[in-house]
Amino acid sequence: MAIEREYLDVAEKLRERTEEGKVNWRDTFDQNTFVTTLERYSFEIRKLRNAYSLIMKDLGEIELFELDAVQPDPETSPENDRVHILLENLYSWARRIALNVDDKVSDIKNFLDKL
Amino acid sequence: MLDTIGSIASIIGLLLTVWAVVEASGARKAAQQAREAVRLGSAADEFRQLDRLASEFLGYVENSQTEAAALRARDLVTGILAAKERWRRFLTNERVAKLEEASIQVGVISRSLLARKNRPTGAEQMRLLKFSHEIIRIIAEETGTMISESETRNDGN
Repeated sequence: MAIEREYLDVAEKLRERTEEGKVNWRDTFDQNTFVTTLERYSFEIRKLRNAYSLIMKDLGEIELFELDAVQPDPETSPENDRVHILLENLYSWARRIALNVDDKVSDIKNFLDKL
Repeated sequence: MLDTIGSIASIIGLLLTVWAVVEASGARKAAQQAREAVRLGSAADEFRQLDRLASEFLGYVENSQTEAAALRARDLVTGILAAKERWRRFLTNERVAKLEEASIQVGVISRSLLARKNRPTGAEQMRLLKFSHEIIRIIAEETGTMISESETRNDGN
């Protein structure tokens, strides 16, 4: 089934705003899941064993849509592969923000410089 | 002479009407305040139940009863969402946001535990405790605030 264009647009805009540092992603109990709340909606980006998944919910925990993409291989569709790149990128940014990776790396760099 | 008496009677009538309106609106206001105090009391009761549910959830987590913890977590999500929607008018936006965060976090815990085949490892258990304690803290804080506001309102009535 073709992925709804609108869901992809939302995911793409979410990635853009995340890269701009405008989205506050947060850590969860599941180390491969990060969440954010925007307006009256929440998003969950998850890394699975060989796939990524983005879920949009309303604040009543009702799932509005889910985008999934498996690891590209010769069998997967070009559409899947495009979504995979998008979600992999979004996941990477979400993780970086939620875990405050940049500040921690900068911190240790400063420490190593002074050592 | 009759005109003067008529004018005075009109003024007295008007004053009596104003007095009656003021009295009635005061009574309406008092009744409204009493209704609000009862509702706030109900909200406090619902949050107390939520707090009990959260404590049970934490108990299961602490005793490594993963399946029971997952199910209680699911109940907790439902409870938080219901309380948040029902008593929204007594909550500030900031408090609503905290409850939403708690429901999202507990939702992830519930789903992760239900999907799991094995018991959490030691490190996972520590992580589970860390997130669970934060959820419990939010709910306890909200429950405390709601009870305190209810008591203050009752003392004022």
